[in-house]
Amino acid sequence: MLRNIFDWSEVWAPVIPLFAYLLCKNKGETGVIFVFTYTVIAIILNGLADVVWHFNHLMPSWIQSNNVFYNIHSIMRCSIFSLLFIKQADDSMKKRIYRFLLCLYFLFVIINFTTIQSILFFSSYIFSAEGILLLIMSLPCIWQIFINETSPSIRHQPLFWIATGICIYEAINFFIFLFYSSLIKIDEYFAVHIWDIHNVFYIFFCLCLARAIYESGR
Amino acid sequence: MNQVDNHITLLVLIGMAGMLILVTGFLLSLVYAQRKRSQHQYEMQALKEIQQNQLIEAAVRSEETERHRIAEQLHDEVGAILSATKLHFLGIKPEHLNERDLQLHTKSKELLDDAIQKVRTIAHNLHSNILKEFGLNEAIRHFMKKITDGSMITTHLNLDDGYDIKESEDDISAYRLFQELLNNILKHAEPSEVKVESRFKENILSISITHNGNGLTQEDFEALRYKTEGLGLRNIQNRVILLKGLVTFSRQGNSYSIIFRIPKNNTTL
Repeated sequence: MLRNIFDWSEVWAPVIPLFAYLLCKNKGETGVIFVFTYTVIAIILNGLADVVWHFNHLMPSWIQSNNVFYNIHSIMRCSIFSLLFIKQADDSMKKRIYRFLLCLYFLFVIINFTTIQSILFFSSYIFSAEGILLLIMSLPCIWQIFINETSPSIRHQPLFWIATGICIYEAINFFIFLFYSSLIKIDEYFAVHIWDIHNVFYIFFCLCLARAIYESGR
Repeated sequence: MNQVDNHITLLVLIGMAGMLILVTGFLLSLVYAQRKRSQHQYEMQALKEIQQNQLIEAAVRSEETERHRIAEQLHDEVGAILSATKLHFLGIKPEHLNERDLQLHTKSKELLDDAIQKVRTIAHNLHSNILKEFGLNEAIRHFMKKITDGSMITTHLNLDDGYDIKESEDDISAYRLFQELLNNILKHAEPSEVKVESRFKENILSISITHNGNGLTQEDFEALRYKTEGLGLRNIQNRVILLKGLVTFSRQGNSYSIIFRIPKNNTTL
């Protein structure tokens, strides 16, 4: 039972920020809109991925792997939060650099899925690129929040919770993403269990998003 | 599994642990730095407040010293000269004067008496002898009697005799605060009835002045005290800060109330 709950954590964890959104009184705030968009996409993609994984014997042959949903989820997460960081960046130079990096990322995604890997396989490169890009954007964002803040109310800033959630999630999972394709081949048992660690930090990430929405509505 | 595979597994674990330590360290150091900065800001703010209070205290104390100096000079010098003038004036025999000069003599004597009385009143108002000798309650009673004597204003006085602290420095400020407030009421509000009550409970002295004139609400007070012409209101605010007290203006129906609360014996509000 507990194992099942944990296996489906990628589906129910994004429901927490969605629930916070429904209770939020400030639905128009930029951060809230981005988090809501991500949450909805995450629930759909993770739901499809877990359904395919659990019931793959019932699925037609062309959709027996859920890797495509993971790849799309990674691209969507990276795009949505990159756009949020671009929007929230405090100077035009930073905005330009972030836009350039995002364009490079999209170029890499296109090249990767057209020439290097198939979208039907779990792409460690795409996940790693996402990790690097979001870490590059979230760390300066957190730094900026600390530098600009004059009163002891950082914990009341939605962007702080979003950036912290992303930063911790991407940093911890970076090496899992980078070597996951190899781990699956060399030690599947270890790979499956290391993905549990990913799930724990994904729950933490969703809790941070929920807190961000809660702080927006305060 | 060969050695390379083992290395990958180990690399993933070490990498995750390293990242966890790095990110946690980064966030904790930021939180620590931010707390240090907040504490520094708090200390600077406290220091600024202390300096501001010291300035206010110095201004209020020097004002009090100046009042005493003026009162003493009025009483001892101007009062003495006026008394001597009266003595000399009384030396003039009225029976030797014609009717016109007699009228002038009588009028001059009245004006001289009036001047002597006025100088005495001003000197007593500026000085705080009664306050020092008999305490705040007696000083308030005396001031109320003086200010409303001969006027059409009805006064009600109900002071808590349980308050008998002889703490002249703070009481001088409380008394001046009361004087300023009452003078303002009589000058601007034009009331027909004034009620003064005091209560001393749990080391907090509350003095309320209620009147039926055209008074101020808290919003009016907040707005007026920053205006350049509102010197009296700013003095009130300065004295309240000095006493670490609180002054509130309110309106109930047709009457206005001003309540000022002053903590005593190192109590805080």
